[in-house]
Amino acid sequence: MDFPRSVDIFCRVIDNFGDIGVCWRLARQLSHEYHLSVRLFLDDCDALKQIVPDAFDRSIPDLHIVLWDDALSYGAAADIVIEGFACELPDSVIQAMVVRRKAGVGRPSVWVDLEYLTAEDWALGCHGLSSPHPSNGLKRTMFFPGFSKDSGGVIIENTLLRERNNFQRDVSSQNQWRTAYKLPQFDTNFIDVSLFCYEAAPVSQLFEAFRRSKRPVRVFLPCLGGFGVEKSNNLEVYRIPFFSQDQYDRFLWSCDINFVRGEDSFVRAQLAGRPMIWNIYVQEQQAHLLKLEAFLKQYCAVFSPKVREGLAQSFVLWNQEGQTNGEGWCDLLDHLDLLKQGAQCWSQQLFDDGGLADRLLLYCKNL
Amino acid sequence: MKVAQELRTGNVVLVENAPMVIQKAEYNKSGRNAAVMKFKFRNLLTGTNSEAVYKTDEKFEDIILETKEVSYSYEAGDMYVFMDEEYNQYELSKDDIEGLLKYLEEQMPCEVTFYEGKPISVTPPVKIVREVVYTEPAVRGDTSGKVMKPGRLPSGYELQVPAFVEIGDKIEIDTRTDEYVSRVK
Repeated sequence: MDFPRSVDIFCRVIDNFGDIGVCWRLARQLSHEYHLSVRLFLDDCDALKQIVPDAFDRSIPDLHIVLWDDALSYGAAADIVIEGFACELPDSVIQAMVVRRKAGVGRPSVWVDLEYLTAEDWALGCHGLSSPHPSNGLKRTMFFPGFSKDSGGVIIENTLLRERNNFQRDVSSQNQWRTAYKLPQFDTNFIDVSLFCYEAAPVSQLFEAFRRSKRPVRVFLPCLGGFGVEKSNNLEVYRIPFFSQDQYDRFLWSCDINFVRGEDSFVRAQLAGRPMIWNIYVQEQQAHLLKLEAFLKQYCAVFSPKVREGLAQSFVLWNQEGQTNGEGWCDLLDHLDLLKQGAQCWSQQLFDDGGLADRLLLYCKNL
Repeated sequence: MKVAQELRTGNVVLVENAPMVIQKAEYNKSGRNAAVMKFKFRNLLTGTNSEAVYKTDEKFEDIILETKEVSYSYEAGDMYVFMDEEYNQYELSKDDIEGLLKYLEEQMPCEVTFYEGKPISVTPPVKIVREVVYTEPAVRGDTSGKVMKPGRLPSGYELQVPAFVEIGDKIEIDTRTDEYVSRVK
């Protein structure tokens, strides 16, 4: 009998769209590309509707979205049970896994705690450790997404690289897409920037620097509300509506630099093969800065020494509250070609190393 | 019952009904990740070692075994010797006290735990004071205590300390989490 055949993914939406973004992508990929029967248990369907407006309308074979409360009457445990971001499984689900283990028919469920993405060394030391529960006889594995071969990897759809390359090579496709979303046509005279960040990011300092840029800059800012354009010196700011998850990829593929935040858009920007700057989710006691540092150590290593230090400093500046020093952004724009080379190299490395779903399923099969 | 975060090197807990002594306990937390405790266990029934990782709020049944107050005396080959008030000596291997090595100093007060009459582990005090023997100079202007940097202890172990900590400063450390607590004047 093939193992696994069924996967249940549990996701609680804490805030924003990162948790649901990752869980949806994984659910869709396991169903679409691996032909597994997948159920996605969610406590907030509105959050999913915002990033995948047709999630409840379109029919994806073997992918079922289930309300969290319906897990109270959870039946037989799936082959793989994924606890998204330590969301605490309902007791009924844990009991179902205990029953399955005790029944001894087939393999016990593999219980995976899918954690947040990090490049930190300690996470590598915890990744994939199957740990016995103190009392119920189950084993739970913490699965840490990351950027090295020894980590859980990042979510990469099998067709993503081909679709991205076709889109980026074909300016007319890009322009068609831009027209459909009311964005200005591709123009090599401009540097196109996508901007998605938390409120504390020093946006005004960034804009001030862009106004002084040698090449004019167009910033595309997805936000609530309608369209709007503001022009000031060498800067044009376009306020545009939010994209769905799939269209957001194309948005990232069509820009020269992507400012992204959190986890899902952060990964997609890396896979876009374009330079990116990350606004990291702020934590108490500046814990997030260690996480940022660990990422930069890996990420910047593939860039030319000429831009490596400046790039790392830009990430740090972008994540410092109250930052008033806007110098450095123009230097970054001046080295766009070197940055693009590095970003391509990094994304190719991620594609070559293989995606999270492959690693997860291989892990579960071999357990 | 104790939660994982309260457990320390030397504690004994039941895991799937087997008594497991914790040889090393590491606390980790960053970004939005759940705080976790990584343990190195030795099964007291089979003698086998294993590693496991738990959320910090995972509950464990701890086993109360016979303990004795001791102090660290000296190293003898691969063994570490601890002595009680009556000058009885107890030898433990490097594996037995792996999580303690980074703080070990002569005359350091500890608690040795026995299982079936044999010493199996040593537990350090919850709070200890150690000197920072090396750390990078602070960045001028940041006195908030929020910005952290590595600080090295005499054993070579490094932990995160606030930017204002200087070489020669004594700091209090929580041995359960291996985290800086305060600067000691």
